[in-house]
Amino acid sequence: MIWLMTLLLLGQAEAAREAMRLGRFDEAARLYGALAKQYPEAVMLRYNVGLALYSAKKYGPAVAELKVFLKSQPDSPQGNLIAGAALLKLKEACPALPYLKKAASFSSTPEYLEQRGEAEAACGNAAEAERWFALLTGKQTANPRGWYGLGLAQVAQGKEAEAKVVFERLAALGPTPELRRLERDIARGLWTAGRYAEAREALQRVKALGLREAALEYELGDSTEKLDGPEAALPFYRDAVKLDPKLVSAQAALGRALVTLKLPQEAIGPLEIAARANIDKSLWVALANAYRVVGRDADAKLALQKGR
Amino acid sequence: MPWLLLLMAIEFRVHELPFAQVSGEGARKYMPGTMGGGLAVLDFDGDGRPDLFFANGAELPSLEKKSEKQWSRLLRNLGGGKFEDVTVGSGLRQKGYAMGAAAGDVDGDGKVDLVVLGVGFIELYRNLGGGKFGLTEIENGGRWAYAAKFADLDGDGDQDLFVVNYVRWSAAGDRECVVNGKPDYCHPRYYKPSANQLFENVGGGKLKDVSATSGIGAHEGKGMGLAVADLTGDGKLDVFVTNDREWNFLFVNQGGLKFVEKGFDWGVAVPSDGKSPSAMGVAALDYDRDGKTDLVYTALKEETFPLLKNNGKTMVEAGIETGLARVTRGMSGWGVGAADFNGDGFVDLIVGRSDALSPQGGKGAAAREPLSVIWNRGGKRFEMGAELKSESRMWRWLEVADLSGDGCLDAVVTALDATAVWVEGVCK
Repeated sequence: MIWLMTLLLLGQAEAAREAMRLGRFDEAARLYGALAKQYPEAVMLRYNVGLALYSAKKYGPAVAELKVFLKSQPDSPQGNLIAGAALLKLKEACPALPYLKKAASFSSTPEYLEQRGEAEAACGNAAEAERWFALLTGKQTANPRGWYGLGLAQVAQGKEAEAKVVFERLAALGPTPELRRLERDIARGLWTAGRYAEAREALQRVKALGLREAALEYELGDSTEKLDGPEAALPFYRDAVKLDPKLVSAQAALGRALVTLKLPQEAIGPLEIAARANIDKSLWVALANAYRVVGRDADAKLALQKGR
Repeated sequence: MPWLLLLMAIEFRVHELPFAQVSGEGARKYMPGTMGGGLAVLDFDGDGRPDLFFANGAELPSLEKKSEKQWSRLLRNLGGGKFEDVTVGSGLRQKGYAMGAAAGDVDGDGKVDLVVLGVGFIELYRNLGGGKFGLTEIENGGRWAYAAKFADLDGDGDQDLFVVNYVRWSAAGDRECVVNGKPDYCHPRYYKPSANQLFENVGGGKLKDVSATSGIGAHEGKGMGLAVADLTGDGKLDVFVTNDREWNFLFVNQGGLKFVEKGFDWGVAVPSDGKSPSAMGVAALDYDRDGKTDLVYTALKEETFPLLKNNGKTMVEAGIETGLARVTRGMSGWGVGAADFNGDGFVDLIVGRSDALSPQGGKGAAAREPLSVIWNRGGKRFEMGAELKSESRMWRWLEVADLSGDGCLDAVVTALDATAVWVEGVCK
């Protein structure tokens, strides 16, 4: 019987390997998972399950499998690398760092350098992030993600002059997604800082690069409203809610602008959506005002109660 | 076109006055430091020329006046642009941190008396004649009294007193706030609101607190300004109170010193978008000459100065259609005066501008702004006037009066830690 079981095992393992090779990662994960259940003592199978799940972009389950594997082989560079990468994908940068540190033997690869840089940056270690992104750009001078990360890490440390040079290197690579991301970051930063004239200019620049995003339209609208009033902002708010009706801040801004512009009937829809999201009690007051003007006094009273 | 002959060309000349406000601002930003600068215009000596009283600050956080520079000041108008400091011997130099003042004849003796308001006090100074004033302290429960007006609110022929109180504040409880990495004044949301007070003039120079029975004391806000006018058109004086980042109050006069708060019903509590601005100075005016009293109040940059048009049953925002929203979008305003400066029959606006934040704080020198005049073009449109040129200061409160007696209106404006100015309107 042993030879039969061995044959069966070899057959299943071969099928899992083939699924991996063909990029059928879900199938591979299922096959490796079945094997791991049958042979719990074979911990490398848990690693394979983790790897297949990671490849299938199922990062949460991948981390769970890899943690089981790492209990028995805590220093496995491969296991730590994939666990760290999966956590990074889950935007859990700080928990990813200990795993990535244990996978430092991969530090000659650009992928590792990028992941390490990203994790350090997201975890607030700007100086460390700068170091890893500098290694990456030293190795790959045309890697836009490297220049982007390096520049941001320098900005975070107040090294604006150095960052400017880095961003020029990024811009020299042409219209990459990273350049657009950078422009978007800068525009959002200006808007958040209340520098509305500069923000509006920067946001328009990003828009000209082809970005269609509800939040961008909302920020453009808000900057425009601060500078020129609600009437000028209206087209941006309308575009924002068209692109993403769930963007409550844009619905709120649209409703407020419409009620200010004495278009209460039109304001009611967006204000109802925004007020029900409970982000700001004053939206109920705006809604009450709109109801009152159109003669819906009972609704106005109810909305007002919620707003006070 | 005979009406054209009535139009006056006007220019404004800005003169420094012999008074400089002391805010008491130090490295630590205690809230009173940004709020001062109140004043009153009164003809205390009955010579027909408007004189000036300036409420002055004190040391912070002690709220005590410790040097002559911190005295409140009485300036006698000698005419011809000359003002004599007659504080010494007047009894008005004061002790505490003064914020505002109001003038009115409390005892009906024909001489104008003065009320001085401050952090923790209301002081009534009865005009004894001969440039002397006698102090009576009015119990206010230690509130931060900020602005006031005398008016005959019960129609019995004497002057009652409405006092607007700001927030509940104590030095020990004040917060340390940081704006753009620098210590600065805190947002009003960090302070609890306070109720306003109404005092009935019961004769003999006595004021009786009727806040509880009148209904005024039932509403807590963060009051900064008030306008007393018949807003509802029933012949009785109502009181509109601006609140800092809180709903404004409209106390509708029911007669017999009873008031009902109807701010929301009248559309004046909060702009239609629901967001309470930093409502500060306020003026009652009939900007469109329709016979009904409208309101305008100042606020901070990007909030615009709301203009509320009275249609007899409610008040509606008129800032966008009149262009006032566009003109004031980039302004932070404190005191606002409404008067027909150019004689065209329509009420114009003059504004003391500046931010609430410190020029030493997060906004830096941008906290300082210039004075502005805003012309009312035929009751339909407001536009920025270029005729008033001033340097940027932390301008605060202002009063409009004809100080020079030439028939052309002037304004007096205070500024934090700087000299007050007389803005002379010169008609041509």
